[in-house]
Amino acid sequence: MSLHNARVLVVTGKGGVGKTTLTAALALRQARQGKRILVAEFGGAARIPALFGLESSSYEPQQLGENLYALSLTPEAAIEDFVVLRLKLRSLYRLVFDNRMMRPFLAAVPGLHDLVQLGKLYYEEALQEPDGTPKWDQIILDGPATGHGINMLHAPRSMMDLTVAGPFHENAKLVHTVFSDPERCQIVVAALPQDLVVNETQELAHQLGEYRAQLGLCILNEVEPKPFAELSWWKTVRPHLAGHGLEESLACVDREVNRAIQAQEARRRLETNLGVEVLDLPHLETDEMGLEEIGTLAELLESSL
Amino acid sequence: MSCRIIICCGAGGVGKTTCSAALALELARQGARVAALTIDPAKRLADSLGIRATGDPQPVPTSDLNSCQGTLDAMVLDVKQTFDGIVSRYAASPDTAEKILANHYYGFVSTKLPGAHEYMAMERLFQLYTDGDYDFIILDTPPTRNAMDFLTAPRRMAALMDDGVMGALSSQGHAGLRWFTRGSSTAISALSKLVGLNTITDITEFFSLFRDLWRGFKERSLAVDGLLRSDATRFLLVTTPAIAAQDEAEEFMLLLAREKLPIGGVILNRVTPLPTHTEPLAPEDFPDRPAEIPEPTWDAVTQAVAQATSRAQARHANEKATVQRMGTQVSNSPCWHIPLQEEEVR
Repeated sequence: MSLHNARVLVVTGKGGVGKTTLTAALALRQARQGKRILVAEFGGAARIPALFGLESSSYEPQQLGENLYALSLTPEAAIEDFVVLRLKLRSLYRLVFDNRMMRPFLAAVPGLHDLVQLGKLYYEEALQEPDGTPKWDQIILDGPATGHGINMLHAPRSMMDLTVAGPFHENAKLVHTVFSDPERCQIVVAALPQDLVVNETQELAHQLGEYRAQLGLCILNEVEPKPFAELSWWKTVRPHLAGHGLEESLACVDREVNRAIQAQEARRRLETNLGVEVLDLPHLETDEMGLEEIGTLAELLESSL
Repeated sequence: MSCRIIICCGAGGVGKTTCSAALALELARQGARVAALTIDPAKRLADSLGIRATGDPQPVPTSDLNSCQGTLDAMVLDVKQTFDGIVSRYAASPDTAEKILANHYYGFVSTKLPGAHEYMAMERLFQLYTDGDYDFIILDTPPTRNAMDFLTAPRRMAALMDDGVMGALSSQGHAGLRWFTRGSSTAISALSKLVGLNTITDITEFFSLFRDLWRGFKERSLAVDGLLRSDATRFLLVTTPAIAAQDEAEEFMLLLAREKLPIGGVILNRVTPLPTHTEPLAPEDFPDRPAEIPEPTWDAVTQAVAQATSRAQARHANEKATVQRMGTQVSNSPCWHIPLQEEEVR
């Protein structure tokens, strides 16, 4: 599966389906395999270090564990990085980007904020060790939810179309080369086994446009285990259990059976409409997501991927 | 104007959309004229109510309302349509409106500018409140991690207009305008070298065309902000025991209180019902296996019934603390429990 060889993985999906948890689990799984992994969060999000017991996040990679590093992207840091460090235009940076009056303009330039953040990842991807091998075996991005996630992916192209020449145009081209290359960048979409979520996930796939072919995997999150091997047994057995004061318990199993049917249906729809492999991740009954839970998910991914 | 506004907030995946739809339907059944507005970009409320995803109110096709006085209109926020409508309605002249609608930068602003979505939702809400003929407006919000995004949109928009460019344009009038449009501003010309002159020209043209509309935006955004804080509005937090256990619900309630937004209460969704059996099930609780059911099947299923019961008992015990806390922490607010349903609610 090209997921293993991809230089960059972008995780996206509807809001609230568990993208961040999934990203952390994927990253941990890869790191445990001996790969040097950089996991990145977007737009000021900084939740992953906390999952690993760290207090703060940073724009530069910080270590979370063995083979595992994390950074947190913000548009401000990425713009400064690009203009000052890479373009070496410190006075320009002060004049244009550090300038309060210009803020509405900057927020206004379509895709600028998204592009510079992807740009940071582009630069990290290109980093090499002294012996010429890449610094990172894989970069995994916890992408924004559906709407913004799509805009983010389209930002390099938007910037290329918008600008005809100049440093941002050139940068957009380079970033686009990496992110739109199926060999180098794969997209993982997270979903839940609910009708409305599946609907939105299908819509997301449709909106990917030129990135559609790079959708490599769908993870169905929070899947409950089947109560017994064959769901059809319930219809035959249930009538015999009725009327013995077990109604409440039977209702519990009704729920479990219905959820399992729902999950089957969700999986079928996603497989058919997305044309990718769909993997289940179980619902973990826990009050708080921490390293232990991430580790459990990582192990499960280990056996399925 | 006795229209009441109910805003359903909450994290992703708690069943907000379903609760909004159910609430809207029930109010209509009780005889009210209800509008249900979703600002969720994925149009899930439209799906769940069975309507097309356009910005116009459509009556919801349901036989539930056949014998009632009440009506239920539903609509999905169409950002561009709403924005275009405002431009057409408030521009200084039809000519100005046309130029704005044709401007490239406006095209971006009306569809992709971060924050525009939330802001247009507020404009739409305001329109429905003032123009519409409804007793209730139910607003279903997007499942953002930060539920406050859309709430603060009106004020952020108003603040933007006092700031930087807008401030210069609106206070210095033509002089400020010349500063930007002349392009002799070093900052502007520097930026235009980086991102292309066309962009900057489009942007400056947009700002100058839009100048007359700014005041209206600012006024309306302040009006909406006032409306959100008035007695006509109630915020309902939709959450589940699982999410509430993570303190997010609490934080959100604190935030609402701090912002002085009127709290209507909490809907605690998917609560595990109180089990009548408090002990685990034993083999003697089950009837004997009927001859026609094979033993392995019977064993597997009865075992599943026993295990499901134990799990539900454990979950109920787990949730009890959270449920109690939700009931007491917001001492002035009601808290409704909605039990876990057998099937996905449609």
